[in-house]
Amino acid sequence: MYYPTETRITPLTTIRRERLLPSRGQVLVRPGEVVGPNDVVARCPLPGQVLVVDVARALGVRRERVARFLRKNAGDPVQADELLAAPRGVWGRFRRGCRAPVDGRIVAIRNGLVLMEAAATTLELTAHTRGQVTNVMPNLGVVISTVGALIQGVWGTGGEAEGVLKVLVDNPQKPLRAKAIDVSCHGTLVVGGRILDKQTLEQAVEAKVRGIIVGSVNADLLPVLRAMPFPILITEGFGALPMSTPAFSLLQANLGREAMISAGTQTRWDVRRPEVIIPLRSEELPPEKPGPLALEIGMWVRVIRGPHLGAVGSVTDLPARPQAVESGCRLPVAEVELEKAGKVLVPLANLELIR
Amino acid sequence: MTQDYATIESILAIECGSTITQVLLIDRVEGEYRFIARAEAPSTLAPPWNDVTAAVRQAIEQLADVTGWRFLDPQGRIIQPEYQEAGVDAVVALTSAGEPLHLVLSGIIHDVSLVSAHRALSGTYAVVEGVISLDRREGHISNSDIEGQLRLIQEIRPDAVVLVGGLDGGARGPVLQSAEAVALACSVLPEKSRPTILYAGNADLRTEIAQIIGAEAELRAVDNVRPSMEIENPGPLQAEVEELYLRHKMERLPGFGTLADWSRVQVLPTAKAFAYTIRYLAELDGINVLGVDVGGTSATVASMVDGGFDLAIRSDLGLGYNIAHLLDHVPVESVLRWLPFEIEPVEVQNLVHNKALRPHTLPQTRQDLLIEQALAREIVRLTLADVAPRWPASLYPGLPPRFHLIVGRGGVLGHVPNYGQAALMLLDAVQPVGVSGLALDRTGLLAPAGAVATVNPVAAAQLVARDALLNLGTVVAPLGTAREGEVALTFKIKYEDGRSLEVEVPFGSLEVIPLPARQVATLELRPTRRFDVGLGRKGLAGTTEVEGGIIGIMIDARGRPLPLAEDPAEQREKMQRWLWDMGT
Repeated sequence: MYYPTETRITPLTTIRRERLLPSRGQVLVRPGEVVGPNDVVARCPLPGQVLVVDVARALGVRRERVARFLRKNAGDPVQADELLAAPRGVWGRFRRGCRAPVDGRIVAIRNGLVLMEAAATTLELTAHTRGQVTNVMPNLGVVISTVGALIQGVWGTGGEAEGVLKVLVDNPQKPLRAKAIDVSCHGTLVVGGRILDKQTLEQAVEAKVRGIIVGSVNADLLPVLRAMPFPILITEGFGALPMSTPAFSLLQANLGREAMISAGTQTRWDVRRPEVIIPLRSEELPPEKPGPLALEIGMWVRVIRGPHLGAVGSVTDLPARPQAVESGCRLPVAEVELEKAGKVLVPLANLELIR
Repeated sequence: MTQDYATIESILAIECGSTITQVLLIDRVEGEYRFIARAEAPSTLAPPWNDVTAAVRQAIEQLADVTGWRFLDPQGRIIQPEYQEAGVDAVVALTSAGEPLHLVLSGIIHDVSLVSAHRALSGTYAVVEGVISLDRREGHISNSDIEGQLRLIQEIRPDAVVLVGGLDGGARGPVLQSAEAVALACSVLPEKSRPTILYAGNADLRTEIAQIIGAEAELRAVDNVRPSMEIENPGPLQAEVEELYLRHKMERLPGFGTLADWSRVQVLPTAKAFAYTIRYLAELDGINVLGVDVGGTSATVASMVDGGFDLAIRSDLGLGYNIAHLLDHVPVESVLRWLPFEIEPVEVQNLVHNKALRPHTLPQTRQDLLIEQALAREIVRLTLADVAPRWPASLYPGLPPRFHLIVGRGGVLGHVPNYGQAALMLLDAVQPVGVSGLALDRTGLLAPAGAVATVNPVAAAQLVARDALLNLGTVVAPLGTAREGEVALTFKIKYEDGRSLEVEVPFGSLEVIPLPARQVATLELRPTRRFDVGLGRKGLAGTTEVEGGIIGIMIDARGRPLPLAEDPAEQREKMQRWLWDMGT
């Protein structure tokens, strides 16, 4: 019994996503409420930067003497340029005091140093998707349920975005070309087989796209990808890999529809996979698929390591004993009928279920 | 435990790694403890499982299929003790799946307290993310830069700040200044995010440090890691960090509670269990032993040199999730030099990043396999570089001390189609000098045996003696230089049956002479006047008894340090030749 990893590429499912505040705040929606991607569902204060004001040095006094010159206490709010400390009495007239560099609050005073926290800003958490609030966690966040298509990627960068899907290639093998990204891509999520070069990314910035979804990209472009002002999601991996047929077909079938990208990727500890959600209208909520499945003959799988990395096919046999593969190693394998390569043996560890 | 362990006949050892979970069955057969069977499953820390024990149960199911034995009750619990042809007498567990501790290290002078602290921390699952010191070293934050220290602690949000510095009775000012800055930084963090402060500096300052830290954070003070210029005392700090790792990381693994309930003794960190076994192997025969374990998220080197034990864990380097970090430390060209074929650097980068995303995948092609082996060489080299300065001065500066036995562990070494590849990885990465035995952890038992020892030392000893090691053979590595092709040494091998063979070994070559496992031969080594076979003098001849193995006797006359060709094409040819020489 082997339980492979899974990737969800599904045309219609119920998607539940938590939207959580980074710190305690206020939830602004109620269970059952219908929300759009840009609706603010919760907010919380974001603490400002912490600054150190060296009062002892500013006043030219010994650290242990600072307390007698302080005009503020820990916890006091202060405004920019407000006096924090100054000599009292006749000397105060001749010496400059020590003033607050920004608006904020004094958080601590220690050893002649004043720690200030700049004024807090407010973080507004949007729904990011179109759906219904199904659970409210007071002060913490909400759960939003959406019915729609879901495509999980393997890697992404650049946070979240929503926009209309625009497929710029006619088959998943074709790379995104800079010349294909024009003014019509403004505000859209563009889709291509892969990214070839920096120029394409620069053109995407110029055209103000909201995000990019591709099958693959070469790893030497990673620093450029990380500097992009929009999210980029990769469905297959690093290299020159076409987007898998199921992912490409699903994106193409939803061309022109509103979609959301979450590109955040975390492979360990609080695992998070990048994903594309395409909300769809449906009379009934489709049932959620059951938990992990053991690999069986007939299952639809994707190869996740060379030489057939990215290829999709169905399992035709599960040999009971380990088999020799090209490397010379004997490994537990499955026989898989791939779309192009036909029947091949693939180590079980190199397969994932597509659901 | 003494009256207890004799009653333990069957043991199930569970090792939860970051990518693979293995279970091993040990049982008493004809009065001796033997390894019976092993099964593995991909680890299940991530969704949809979020439970380390799911993989354990999957592996146990496989073990049950293989052995016909029943281990789990209908509720999915391991049956203990063995009763009516089901279950086992004891379970032991170890894991390397926990996230390492993230630390900030604050000290005074790099070459004194900070070096000692680094040494103490290197034997733990911890990553030092930031350093504060008086030195103006690149990447260090200065003790006087209070805002810098504040920002560092705020950004990293470490699990602990390790505060060291000052010999006992020595420096006060900078240590107290650092403590002030750390206390300030803690005071502005939310209470739940405040790091533990581990103080291992000038013992005279403990009271003042306690006053400075006050209620801002939890303070734990241990003996000074560097009480005097001459004395280093890493033990107490190391023990405290281990304890913190257990509390903050291991115990928070999803499903850890169940694993701990199953285990008869405390769940051990894998590196610690591995260290126990390496130490035991060294102490058993009074020899120098080097153990190298290349895991998915960490690499471990345990060594015993002239009675001194050392453990180094690189929690930022591994062949799985952490593989991409390797390229932060070495250029991709360093990996390419271990490959016998031409490949674009970006293809190796692609493979590395894909492996980091899917760490459980296995190389299917020879090219992929050799790239992983090349990456493993670099990981071992970097980990050894951490330990090397701590070894006693070698007879040969810049080279490792003489190891009588070198043991390799980890999937990349164990899962090879040809053991010559594993031997070559060890030879290239360690570059031993003189005469050494080479062995592999054949059944994955080496670390679990360390855990078994805590419930039944006899079982552990018998396992290590009989089942844990796959003897690859003996390597002879002469030290010296000559023109390629010139004779480096002549050796004569006398087999047990009286046959003998004399061979001249040219410089630059790697010769393999078969000598089956469990056979012993006498080796007469006659180096030319430019070569030393580990006897401390060039040209000095010697005779030694060597043990055979699955490869036999390897004469590594390629030179030390291993001369790599600057021309990539020439180096590829060399690499291909070395692989052929090793029969792969």
